[in-house]
Amino acid sequence: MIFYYSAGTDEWITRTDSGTWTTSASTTMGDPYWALENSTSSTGGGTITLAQYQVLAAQQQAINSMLAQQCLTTQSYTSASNNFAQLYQPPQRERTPEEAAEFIRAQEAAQARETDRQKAHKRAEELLLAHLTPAQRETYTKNGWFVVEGKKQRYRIHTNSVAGNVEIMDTNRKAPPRLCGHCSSDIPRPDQHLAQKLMLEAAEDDFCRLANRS
Amino acid sequence: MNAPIRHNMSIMDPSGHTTVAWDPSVTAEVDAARATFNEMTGKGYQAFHVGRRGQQAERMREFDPAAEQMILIPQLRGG
Repeated sequence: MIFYYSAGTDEWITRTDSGTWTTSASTTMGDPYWALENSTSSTGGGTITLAQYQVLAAQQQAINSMLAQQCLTTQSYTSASNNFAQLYQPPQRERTPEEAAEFIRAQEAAQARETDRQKAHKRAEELLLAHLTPAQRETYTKNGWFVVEGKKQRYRIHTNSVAGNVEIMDTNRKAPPRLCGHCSSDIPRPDQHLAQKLMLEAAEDDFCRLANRS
Repeated sequence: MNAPIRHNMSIMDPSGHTTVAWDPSVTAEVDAARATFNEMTGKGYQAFHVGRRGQQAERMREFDPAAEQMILIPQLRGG
């Protein structure tokens, strides 16, 4: 679990490994944010180490009104909670005009990045849909997956993730095996799914060889 | 007068994809598209000839100016 501080909404929000943002007020990622990384990176509780906190504390703009108690109630951690109380002293002052201007600039830049990300996602999805059969398009839309026919096997590509999302069908197993193979993470998710589809159709052996299997 | 034929290749990138188009009857455009194809495959991109409406794709090792639609994907790796 990773925490991010949203200077715009003045609250801590968390991001799960599947990419879902959760926050008490908003999921808009239009703000600059700083990461306080859970050292275990597990989905359960973990330990926020003192060193990590000190890195974050050095970024004054990030914590001019950090809600430490809210952070602690958002996610339980087994230790280091006392360190927050001991180390953190929120500064009691208003932003200077320069800080306010910088904050607005950073907020606008973050908003622009989010807009670009959404445009890229839409563009990628249009490309994917243009290369699905009508049957694939239907299940993609209704169920969030589509089936691809390789030369040797059939696969179901689940579109809620790009990791471990390729299910091998027709195995008569209760829990069908899954393959994990994807491109570098900076292309939009629909592009990832299209890439997986193309590989399974036209380079099935290569995909099965490079993918990790679970 | 007939409209020029446009073939295209979509190269996946952080923007979604970038499109390179060419008229197979125009040498300069074919050469430019081939150069892009070779540059990207040289970087590890894989190329696929795709049909319409989700027809089965075929991998391409060399640029074929007659291919109407291509998609170039970055290298995949095990996750």
